[in-house]
Amino acid sequence: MDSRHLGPIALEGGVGGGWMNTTVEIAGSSVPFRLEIDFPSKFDEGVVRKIDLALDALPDLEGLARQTIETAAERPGSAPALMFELWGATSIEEPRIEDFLRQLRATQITMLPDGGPGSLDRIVLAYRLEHSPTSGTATVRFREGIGAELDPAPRVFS
Amino acid sequence: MSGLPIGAMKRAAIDSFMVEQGWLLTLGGDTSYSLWGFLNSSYSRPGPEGEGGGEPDGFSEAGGSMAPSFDSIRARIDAYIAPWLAPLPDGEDCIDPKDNASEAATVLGASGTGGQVLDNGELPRSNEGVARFLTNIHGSFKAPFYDKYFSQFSIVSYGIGAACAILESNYAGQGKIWPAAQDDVAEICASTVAALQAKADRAASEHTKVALTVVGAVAGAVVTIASAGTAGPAVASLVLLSSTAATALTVIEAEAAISGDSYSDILDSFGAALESLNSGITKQEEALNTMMAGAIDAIGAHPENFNLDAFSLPMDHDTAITLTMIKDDSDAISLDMGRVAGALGDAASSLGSAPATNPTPRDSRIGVTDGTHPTATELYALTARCLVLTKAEYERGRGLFEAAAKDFFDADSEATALVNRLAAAEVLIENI
Repeated sequence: MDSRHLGPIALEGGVGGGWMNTTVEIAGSSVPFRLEIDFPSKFDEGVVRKIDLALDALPDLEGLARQTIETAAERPGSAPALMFELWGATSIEEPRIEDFLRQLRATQITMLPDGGPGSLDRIVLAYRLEHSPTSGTATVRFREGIGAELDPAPRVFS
Repeated sequence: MSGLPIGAMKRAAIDSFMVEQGWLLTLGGDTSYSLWGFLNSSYSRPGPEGEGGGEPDGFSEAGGSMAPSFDSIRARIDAYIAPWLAPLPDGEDCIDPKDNASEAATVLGASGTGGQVLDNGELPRSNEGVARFLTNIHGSFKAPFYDKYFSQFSIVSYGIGAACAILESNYAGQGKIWPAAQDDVAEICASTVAALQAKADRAASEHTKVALTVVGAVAGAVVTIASAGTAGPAVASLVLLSSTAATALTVIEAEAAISGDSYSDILDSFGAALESLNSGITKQEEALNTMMAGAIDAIGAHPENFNLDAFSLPMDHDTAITLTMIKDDSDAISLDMGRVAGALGDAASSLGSAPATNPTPRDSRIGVTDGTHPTATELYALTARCLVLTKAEYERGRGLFEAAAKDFFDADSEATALVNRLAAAEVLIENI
């Protein structure tokens, strides 16, 4: 089956679950994209349509993810706040949130279109800092019936 | 029935249908569906009455409208509920015929709805009076006269009374069916809406049982008829018919269930629940019809037990009619017979005639066609006619007795001639 965005979809894996790794374009850059299918036997045109509708909305979703991170960056203890702290510690000048945000890049996008009520993640975007990849990850999940949720900061941060 | 939540049912079914495909109510609102609740392309949601909706908005692909799918869900619900929307009767029009039949039954010593049987009413008392005074009378006419105008007449009057009680029972039952059916339809709809809403909210929804109150309501209203004349053959056959009906009514299935793993299964169970209700009503009306048809057959099989005119005076034409008596006794008999005839007249005017139109009209897809109206009308007409013919024959008998008494006291040829003329007229039978 052909996706308008991804071309022909060929799943690896077996009856218990399939996936396809490829890339998508966001703001001119190529971002790794992973499609996960929980029910390969029910994978049909309807699911492909949902994938395409979600990819149509990807620019908006990406913007919404950044907004979620930006809002959280000002909340002490959140994952973006900790990332900002770590990033700020290595910078020469006074660290500014706008610069921090400009440095964030989406490094992995995962889509799970057929998860069902027991598995509500549909689109997951992971962000890292372009020039300091060890400063951690901010992950935004778009969950069915819920919307955007930011992963909490890890308990042990080294 | 304007009160039924059909619009809400349609919208809940459509919400459920969309959720099953991943199209949730757009987060933060309730007027559109988006994929997973958060993508920005959407379909409009139907309004609160379940109307409209399905129009795409914000799709970059060439999207079609969901309206045809929504229309077919709406049409499916409409098809299930349509027969029940043509207003269901409320049973109020059954009150008058029930009361009329009940009054006539009471005069004739019977009761159709478990009420007390009066065996000390005007008619039985005066009838006993006639019998008592007849014991003082002698002659060729006494035994036949006693046999027809007391013994058989007792059977006939109790028989007609039992037929009135059966009519009363029918109208009592019909009066209970419809208010209960209205409640049951409302309950079935409410349960369906709740199940669909739970499905659309992805909440746990239980298998809901709906008790059909229509069964208990009618079973309580239709009981074995009672009569002071239970020992008689006419009454016994009618009592049996009514107790058969009463039993049949208690064993009708009284439950329906609303459940399903998908909106479509829930709608199937909605249709099945309404079918169950319809089947219950149909069986109830069939039981009532069987009871009344049996009564019609019983009257046809033994008209002499329901129509005094069909019973011949057990006396030879050649035997001269002779009576010996004292005037006090013959006066008393004449007066008591007058009271009996008056009571028969009261019963006839109380009974009146059947309602001109079906007192419980409903869509032809519900219950038995025309309900119990045709059979009740036939029994009603038959019973009323028995009453009319019986009264006429009884009055003829009274006239004959008075003429025979006069003949005895006056002993002239004119009196004798009168007796003979009346005797000849009395022999004639008018059929029901």
